[in-house]
Amino acid sequence: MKTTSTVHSPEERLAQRELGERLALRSQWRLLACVSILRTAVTRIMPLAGAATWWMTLVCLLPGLVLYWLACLGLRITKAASLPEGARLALGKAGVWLVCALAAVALAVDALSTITALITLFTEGIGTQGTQWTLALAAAGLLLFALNGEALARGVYFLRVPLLALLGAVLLELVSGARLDHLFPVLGDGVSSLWAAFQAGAGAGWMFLLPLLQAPTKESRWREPLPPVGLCIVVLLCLNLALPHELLSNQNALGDCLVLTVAHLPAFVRLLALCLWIAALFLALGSSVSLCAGQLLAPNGRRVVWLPGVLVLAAAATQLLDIRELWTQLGALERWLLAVPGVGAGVSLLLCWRKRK
Amino acid sequence: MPEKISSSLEQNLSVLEARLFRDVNTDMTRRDFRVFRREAAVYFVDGLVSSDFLQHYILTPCQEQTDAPLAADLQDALLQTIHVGDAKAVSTYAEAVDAIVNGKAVLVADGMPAALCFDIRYFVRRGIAPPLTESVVNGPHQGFNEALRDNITLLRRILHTPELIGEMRTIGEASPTNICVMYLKNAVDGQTLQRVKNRLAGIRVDQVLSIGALEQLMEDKPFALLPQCCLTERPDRAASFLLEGQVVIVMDGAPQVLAMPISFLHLFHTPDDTSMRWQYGTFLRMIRLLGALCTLLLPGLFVAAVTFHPEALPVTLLTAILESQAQVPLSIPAETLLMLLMFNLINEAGTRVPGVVGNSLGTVSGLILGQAAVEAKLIHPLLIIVVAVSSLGSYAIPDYSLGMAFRIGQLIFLAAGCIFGLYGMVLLSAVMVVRLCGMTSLGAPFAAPVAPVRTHNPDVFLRYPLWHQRLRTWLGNPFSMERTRGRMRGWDRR
Repeated sequence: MKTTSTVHSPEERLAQRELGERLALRSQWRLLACVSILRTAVTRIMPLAGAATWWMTLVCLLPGLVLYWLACLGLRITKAASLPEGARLALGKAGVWLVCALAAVALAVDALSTITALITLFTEGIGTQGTQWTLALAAAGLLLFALNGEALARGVYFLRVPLLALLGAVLLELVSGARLDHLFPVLGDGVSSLWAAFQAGAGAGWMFLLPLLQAPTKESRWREPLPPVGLCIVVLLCLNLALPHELLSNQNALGDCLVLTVAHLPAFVRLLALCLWIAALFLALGSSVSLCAGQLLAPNGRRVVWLPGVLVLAAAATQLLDIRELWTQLGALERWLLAVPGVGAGVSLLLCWRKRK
Repeated sequence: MPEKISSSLEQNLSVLEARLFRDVNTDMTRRDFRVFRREAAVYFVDGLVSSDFLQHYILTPCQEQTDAPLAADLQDALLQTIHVGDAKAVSTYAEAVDAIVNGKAVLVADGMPAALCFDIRYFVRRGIAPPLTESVVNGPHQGFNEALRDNITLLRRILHTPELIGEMRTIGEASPTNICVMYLKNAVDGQTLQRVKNRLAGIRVDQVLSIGALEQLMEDKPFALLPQCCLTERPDRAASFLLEGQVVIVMDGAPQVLAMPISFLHLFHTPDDTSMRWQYGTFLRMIRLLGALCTLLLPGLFVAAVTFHPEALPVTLLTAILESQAQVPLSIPAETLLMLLMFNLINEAGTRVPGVVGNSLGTVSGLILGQAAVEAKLIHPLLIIVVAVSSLGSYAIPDYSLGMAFRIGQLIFLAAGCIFGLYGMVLLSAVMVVRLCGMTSLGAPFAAPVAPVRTHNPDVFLRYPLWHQRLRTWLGNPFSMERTRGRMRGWDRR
């Protein structure tokens, strides 16, 4: 019988307190990444790639992963702790502003996509009574109540266990109805549709650059994006195994795409899966907004408590627009989310490296 | 009016008479006598001092001194004559008056520019009785009473260490109440202690009548539904808080003490958990958490399932519900709300009615009203089960304030379930958890050590075996978190 337990030194305990806060932030980023990737996969890639969604999503994420690892390498060579620091070394104060502004724009686009998906899931998917605008206001009201300093990151960390348990239950149900035949045709509807799917989803990997905005921890950065990527690919593989190609590739409306992922499940599991979708989208929306506000304020280091609230209300206000048109425009923007910061980061790191030399 | 006590007895008497309003304040007593051939007087509040002590240790020895004092200084001579352990000389009228109203006997004598305060307090108090609201199966059956000294003594009887510090201070400006800030010097976090002291120093009220009022004046988020401090009437529980590095405030006139900071999960712990074997403690804690979840969610879930998601219910159950619902005039949300309000009414009435009658009232009204409501087809029987289970759950929550918070939260979740179904409840749950994680108790994160993670005693959700609990909780001083070094079960070499 073991009658001893690990005793940490006081310094270790103080370090663990800081680690606790970092773990909360990391789980917030992971949730944001998972939801963003799955949302893009289900709504942008799946209607075009069908049975090929699971591997096509991985292909779409590859540019983001490659850029992430290149950025890590660049930071290591230049000995900069984070992307803003690298940009500061290269371009001075303007570089920091540029990096933070790009991150804020990307997060704002993500927030708009998430709120549109969340509210459309209610209005068109589930069929809740109420207009897009009123439901967006209700969601914004709840979000305003929830956004409270570090509370969201901690809350996401707290909720990760129930959310993963729910996901496990849903995946179990998906696997129980899985058929290997559903993975075919491996190339979906052909190369042209796969190319279109790649174009639609190639920007999804921008999320991987977010952890580089902060100073590194003692842990290695190289493996950071792998858990969300792995989880998303497993979920998508289970979906592809459970649903035939014809069903997946015939959806166009946003609400239908979101509901399709749960439509064939038994009633009770479907309810759980919808709850999981809604909770994950809601928390991801909050995370996008709070991180966006953080990036807007990061260069001058001030804290403006009302800014996240304003951003939430602004995001809700976009639901007054024509949703189909908005969704199309957001899709067009999302394609460039990786390219712009990628080029920016590359140029900054190059300049920084030359300066150091 | 002069502030300093003078050597003229006449002047001292006139000032004290005026300050104590003796012309109308009949229980402010003055006894004149002679000592060392000088005039003297002793002031006290009738009923707050022991008349035996006054007679035997102050008046009789003084009156026996008929000669001039041997000591040069009258104050020294008096202190040598009077055989009371706690004696103190004060030099201002304010201090003298303060001592009198706090139950001390104050002696003034001609030619002595000071007043001597003797602590011979003795007043009617309730004896040590079993705690009324925190019963346990295993463990001591003694609770705090309303006397500050008794409560401090009860704690000192458990913790025999000079590191148990008790700092006396008063709170309230017009009528100060004595409180004692207690902590274990080696276990408490210095920052936490300083925060407690700062908050106590920053309280500006005329009077604090109850420890609940003090709690409200000290907590971080007064608008939050959840309590952020823990009230206990058990000395063993208060001692365990002290051992964990928390600060305990004992207040005169309060049969509970206030412990802070706390974490949310602390509120689900009971002294039974520790005194029972770890398997039983863990089982009971799980039951309690389940009860809390039932209280919070069950009525809302029932309404959401029947109203919005009937497809998720088994067909037989749904048919039974719909059949009985057809005979009931109210909608399911209205019925549920009615039942919950009825439960709260019975609960409140049972609390206000004394003793045994209260218990009977709860049982009888619950049974009779429930049966009558079903027979009158006002509500359907399944709802009785739902409300009864959720109500039982609220009684399983060990902290009364937390139970109240959960009962109010139950109504909020019911509203969410009525309006948006399960989706609304899920969103509300997410928001509530996020808010909970953003709360603090005395600056310490309320949901720690779960979110954010902190090094901690593993006694959080599960009641780990005692030999695994080698650390204090994370709320204490991080530099002295070990309770022990080496093996707790030193004899066990397996």
